[in-house]
Amino acid sequence: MGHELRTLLWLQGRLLRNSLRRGTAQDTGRVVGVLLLGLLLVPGLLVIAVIMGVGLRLTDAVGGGHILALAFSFLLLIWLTTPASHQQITEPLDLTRLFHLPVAFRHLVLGSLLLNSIGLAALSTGFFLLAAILGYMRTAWQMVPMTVSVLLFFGVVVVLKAIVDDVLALAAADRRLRLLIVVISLAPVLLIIYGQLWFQVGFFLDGPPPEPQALLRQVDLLRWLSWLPSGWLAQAFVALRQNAWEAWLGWTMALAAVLVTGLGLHVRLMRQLFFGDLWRLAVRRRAAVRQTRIGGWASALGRRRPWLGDLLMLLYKDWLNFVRSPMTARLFFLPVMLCLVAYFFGRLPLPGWGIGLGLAGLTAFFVTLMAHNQLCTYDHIGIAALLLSPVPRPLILLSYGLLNLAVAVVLVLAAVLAAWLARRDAVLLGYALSAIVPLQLVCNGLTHLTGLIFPYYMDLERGQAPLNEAKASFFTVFSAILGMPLLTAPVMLLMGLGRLLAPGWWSVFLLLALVYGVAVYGLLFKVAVWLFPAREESLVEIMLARR
Amino acid sequence: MRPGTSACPTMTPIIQTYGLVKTFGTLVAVDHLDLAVSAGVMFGFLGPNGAGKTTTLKMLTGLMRPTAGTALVAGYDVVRKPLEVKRRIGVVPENLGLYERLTADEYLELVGRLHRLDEATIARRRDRLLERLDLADRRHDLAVDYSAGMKKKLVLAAALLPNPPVLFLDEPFEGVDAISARAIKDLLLSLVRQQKTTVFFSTHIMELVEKLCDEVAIIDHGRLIAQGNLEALRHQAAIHGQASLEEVFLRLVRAEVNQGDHLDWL
Repeated sequence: MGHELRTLLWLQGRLLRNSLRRGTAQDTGRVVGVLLLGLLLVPGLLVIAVIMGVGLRLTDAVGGGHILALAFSFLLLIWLTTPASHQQITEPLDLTRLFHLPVAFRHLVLGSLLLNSIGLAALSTGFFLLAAILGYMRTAWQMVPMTVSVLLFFGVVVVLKAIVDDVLALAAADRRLRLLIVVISLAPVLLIIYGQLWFQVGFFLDGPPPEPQALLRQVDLLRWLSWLPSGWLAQAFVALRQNAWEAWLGWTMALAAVLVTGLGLHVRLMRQLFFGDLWRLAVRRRAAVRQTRIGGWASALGRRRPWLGDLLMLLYKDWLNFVRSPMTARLFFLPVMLCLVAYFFGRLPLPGWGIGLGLAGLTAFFVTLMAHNQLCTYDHIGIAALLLSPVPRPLILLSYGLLNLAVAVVLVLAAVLAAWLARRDAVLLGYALSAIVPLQLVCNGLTHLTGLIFPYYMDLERGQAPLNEAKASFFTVFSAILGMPLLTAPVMLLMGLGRLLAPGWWSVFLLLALVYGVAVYGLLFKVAVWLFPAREESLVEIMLARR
Repeated sequence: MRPGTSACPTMTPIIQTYGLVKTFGTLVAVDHLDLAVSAGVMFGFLGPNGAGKTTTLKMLTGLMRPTAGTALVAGYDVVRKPLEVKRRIGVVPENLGLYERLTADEYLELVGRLHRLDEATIARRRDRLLERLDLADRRHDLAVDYSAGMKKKLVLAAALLPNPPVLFLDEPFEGVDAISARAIKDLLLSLVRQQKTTVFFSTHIMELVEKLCDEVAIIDHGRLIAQGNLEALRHQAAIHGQASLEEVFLRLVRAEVNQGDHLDWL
């Protein structure tokens, strides 16, 4: 038994060590990233843990309990969302790769738990939990029962993460199911976004901010988070400070019960994985019928204007890739976040046209950041095949730009509807919808260029540029972030200043902004079309090298 | 004597299945498969795409639980004694399952450790395998920088490291260049002839099977439709004379090969 576990630990050590190693490919960016993370994150977490510990010493039992509930819930969230976000420093220790080797099932289960219990996430969790104990205890004897509760909580987060890992691996064979599970497992991020916006709206807009102690009581996090294991641990701590032993025992037993149930579930899921019983959704497939219909329309259009038929098929292909891309699923929370921001904006004492303009700018920013890695088309993986076909290159760019524009218009509409809940203002609606078109047009032009000049392969499943693509991905993101404010500033100025300086002439300024958007897009589009033949080889090479 | 063989309760046949079934919902991937493979043969497992080859291989290597039926490898039930089976087999799986941020040296060390080989044995066998499979020059490079063919050779080296009595290879020649393919063929043949290793492999390359294999099984729609040497297959397909394996295969799976007359634009 010890031999297998020692070997798994050895494997984990090698993967960690090799994450600092450059392959023959130039993955310097990755190595630098890992080093920076190690050098900044760990001391950073240590500092935050110390601040929390000091804060706990200064608060009373219940006030401290609120802080603990928040901190423990944050830890729980990090552990639960890590597997689906793929934000891991080392190559994940995917134990399914060992299934064909002679490793006993029980060792794989133990290994999965042991290896999750060590590493950066475990280390930072350890800092926080230690700081929580040292900061919150008031007598030495409280340390022992607090440690018991903390160890159980640590076991719970490790087991829950293992369960999320199992579920993702079991769903790996079914694209729809996998996307669904990624969406569900990332959903807690929404809780944070919603929670902090609710917090801001509730406490800072509706009056002067209260004192921190009063604020904690008013929010009553301890009560709100009592449905989570993190809340139970905080409740156990509070009970100890109040000498309520029965309550402590109750909350601690609840943690133990979740741990035991979670362990049972993990073993059950891992057994399914071990014997290849992967999950699949039974879905009726209708895409083929739809494709035939659209193919018919494209042929009909193509008889009159061949390029229109081609464009329709490209658009359909881009749309399918957009809705099926794991990247879209991973970014599902962007529209929700945008709507929440819109609602928040709607409550601000700002003019409606300003809010509309701001929402349009934010939407264009989101869409462009989301699209910057799509290699001039939403069909990221199929670009090589597309470039080996005689399809007119300008149409590839045009289809991509049109879809981007459509996505931006739909997003801004959703945002405006959310803002409408806070403020019934037609000006807001008009401005948001008018501004999004020129803003997204110039951003599309920019994306065409960055995609062609710094093309790179994006692992859509993980949402990362793997290994040797880090430099190109940095330049693409950097040029998109730098270029966006420069190119969109005239639109914002024309529409914003126009409204301020000559309110009666706002439609003229809107028209001017639209003309600017079309002109800039036309210019950048022309440059991209001119550049395309010279970059084709690089695009094909990048995609083929990674497949 | 290679490790583990003395513990085998039976030696021939070394792979046996009885009424093996695997279903995915309403789809029957493997349908009552009865297979017997003698020890020390090169066994080719053929079938059209989606015939159930990979599913069968997964069940035989303990990577998938059969819906019904029994499979024995080296005398052990793959469901009841998966660990005993895995100690006696080497596998080149469909998706190679490499840790890409390990070097070839490290990956082979991992496999050797999990097979409980001592360090000296791991080092000796690793050096010879890497030399033989032409990976010695790149042994310290991370696997992520290897070509597809090199990765396949590395996984093959890992399968051979513990010197198992049975090798399961899923498309072992896919993506491998001609020189390496020759090296792999020679290596596998020497294993079968000299060490009496059983090599069970699936492939689509008929010429290779015809040249290498002592025995062949053909499955279609999850069902075994023929098994034996080429002569026996010709007999089962009711073909007389010197028909090639490809012709026999096409006859047995009743494949209708379109002659291209419908592709009027070509």
